[in-house]
Amino acid sequence: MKVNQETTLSTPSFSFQHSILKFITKSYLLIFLCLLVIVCSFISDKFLTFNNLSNILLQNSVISIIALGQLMVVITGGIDLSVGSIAALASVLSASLLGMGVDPIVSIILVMLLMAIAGLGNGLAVTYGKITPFVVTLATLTIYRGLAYIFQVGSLVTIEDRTFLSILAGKTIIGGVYTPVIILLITLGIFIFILRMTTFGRRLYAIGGNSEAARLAGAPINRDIITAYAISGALAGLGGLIMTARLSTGSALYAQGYELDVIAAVVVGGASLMGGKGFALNAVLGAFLIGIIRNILNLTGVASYPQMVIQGLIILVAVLLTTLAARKKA
Amino acid sequence: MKGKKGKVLKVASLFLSCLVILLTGCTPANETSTKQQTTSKNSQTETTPAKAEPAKKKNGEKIVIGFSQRRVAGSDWYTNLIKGAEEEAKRRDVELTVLDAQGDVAKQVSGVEDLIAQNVDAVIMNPQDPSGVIPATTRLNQNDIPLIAVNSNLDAKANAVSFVSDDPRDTGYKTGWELAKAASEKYGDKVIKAAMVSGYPKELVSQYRRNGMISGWTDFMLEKYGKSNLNLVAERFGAWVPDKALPEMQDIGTAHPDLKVVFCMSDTMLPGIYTGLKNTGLNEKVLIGSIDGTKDAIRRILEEPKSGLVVTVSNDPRVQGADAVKMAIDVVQGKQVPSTHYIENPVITSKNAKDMYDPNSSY
Repeated sequence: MKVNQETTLSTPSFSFQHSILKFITKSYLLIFLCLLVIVCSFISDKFLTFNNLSNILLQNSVISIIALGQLMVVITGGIDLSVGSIAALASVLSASLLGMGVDPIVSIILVMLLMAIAGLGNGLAVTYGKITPFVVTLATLTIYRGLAYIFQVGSLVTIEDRTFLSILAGKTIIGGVYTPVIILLITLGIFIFILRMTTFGRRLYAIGGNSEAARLAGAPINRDIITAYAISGALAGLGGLIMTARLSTGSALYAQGYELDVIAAVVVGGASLMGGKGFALNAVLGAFLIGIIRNILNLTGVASYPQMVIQGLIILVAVLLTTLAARKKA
Repeated sequence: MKGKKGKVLKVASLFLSCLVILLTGCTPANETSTKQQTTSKNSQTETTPAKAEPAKKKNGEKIVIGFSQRRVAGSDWYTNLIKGAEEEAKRRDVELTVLDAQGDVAKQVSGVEDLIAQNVDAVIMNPQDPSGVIPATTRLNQNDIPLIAVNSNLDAKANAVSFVSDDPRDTGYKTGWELAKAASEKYGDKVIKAAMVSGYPKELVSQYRRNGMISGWTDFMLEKYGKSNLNLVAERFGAWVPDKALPEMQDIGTAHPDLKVVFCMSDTMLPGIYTGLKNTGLNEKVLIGSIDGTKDAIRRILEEPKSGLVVTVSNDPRVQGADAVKMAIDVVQGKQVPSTHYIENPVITSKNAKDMYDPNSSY
């Protein structure tokens, strides 16, 4: 927290050169992303087409939304491995609720609430149960996936409810931009606000940076941590709902291994798994960075195995850059 | 501080009670589904010709069969495999004990030992690992208990009497053939840009199905035009689930706006394929061939010709389970059984989709 306050306080810089350096170290990710886009547009003439850009936005919005929730948990020094399973549970529950004839808007809200409770369970076990977040969410990863399988009626449940589909995966007035992208932007806006402007947001950094100091300063640590997990659960649920609408099918099979994709996005976005560090915008940029690389590899027809290697390397390079930038800042 | 804690707990308990109410509220859905399943069970038994006479041992005793399943949780396919076996056992008045190894070879071995201790007459095994279960199969051999392998391959050392499975190469071949037929009706002998979405790289089922599809396509085209016109522009992997197949399909569609055909390795990935094609403006233009013959795929062929799905080839786990039980009964009764038995895999196209569609089917 101290470090963070210092950096925000010292933002008005003294020289022009200094401020440029500051800009580069602070928004290296944005620069990296821009460079990547330029390189990609040279590699494939399909890359900068309207269709592809619209697809990239759409493809990565789910991961980004879940990544924002994950970021909150990671800032407190925790980790949430159950997000993929929660997304699947949300998918199955929404499909069965709609199948029972429940109003689509009510089902969306209800499912997100339930998933917040699922996250709340994680938080309770972490705080009052005093079990490490990794272990707690590793357990709930199987528990929630198991519940999803239990609730699944038939193999794949087709959803035909127009309202549900158009809210979560419909077209917007802006051509080529679908509702998931708008949902992402709204969520991102809220997150930037919460993490930067609210005392709750600042307390999360404090808890992750030095929980003992935060406790002495009188922060309601347990409540904050539980809230972070609940929000993570709700957003994972939202991601699952969007996935369900996009595929117009509910299934317990969705989002397997998403927890790792999401954590990768958060880490590439510069968050530290030790807690106390990370920005909302960067987490989303991290998700897009990985997504764009996958997209360009697919567009150029790189075979699957080299793709996996390249993706892993990019994650390493990105994290390396992050740590270098952080060292510069310090 | 204490008051706040209490508040949190209160809120938490409130939420939890909501959850409990909701979960219990959800049970009716499950009940109706089980009801549906039972009705489908009824319709199935109705359609099966002649209520089979109960199968007995030569000395008139009831036959007891053990079924060692590698894993159940998380797989609809495995669940239906067991269901098929259980239904057949019930039909023939045979006792069937199913043990779930939960994806663990050691658990499967000890499970089979338990079956031996229960004096079963035959064991059906869907092995977690072809050679890892050899200690268990050796014990079976020592005790003269016949072994039938189902679905997954067993090592030759296991001395299984029979292997009951689908034939992935043949199902693939039939899909490729039908897809080629549909494509030739639409495009003649023009070069066709095609993409393939399978399960996992280097996975046997993916490879067999893929090779089958390509040879089916090629054979059809060779027979009709004397040349092959397949230009396979992309081979991607969707991990057998729709949400993983979706971005792959989207990227393929973006890279190849003139795509004509998609080879999909499993019906479970179809929702991802449809959405991917829709997002790239290729829906209603691309022909799709798939495998598995699930209820939803058959419905699409029947009701939504615009979806582009022209064929799916049946790979019904319930048939596999039932056939395995039939084999086991035959072996116990001393009849000859083939060393490999492939289940029937009828082709489903718009011509027969109506007869093949059962809205109450659990698969």
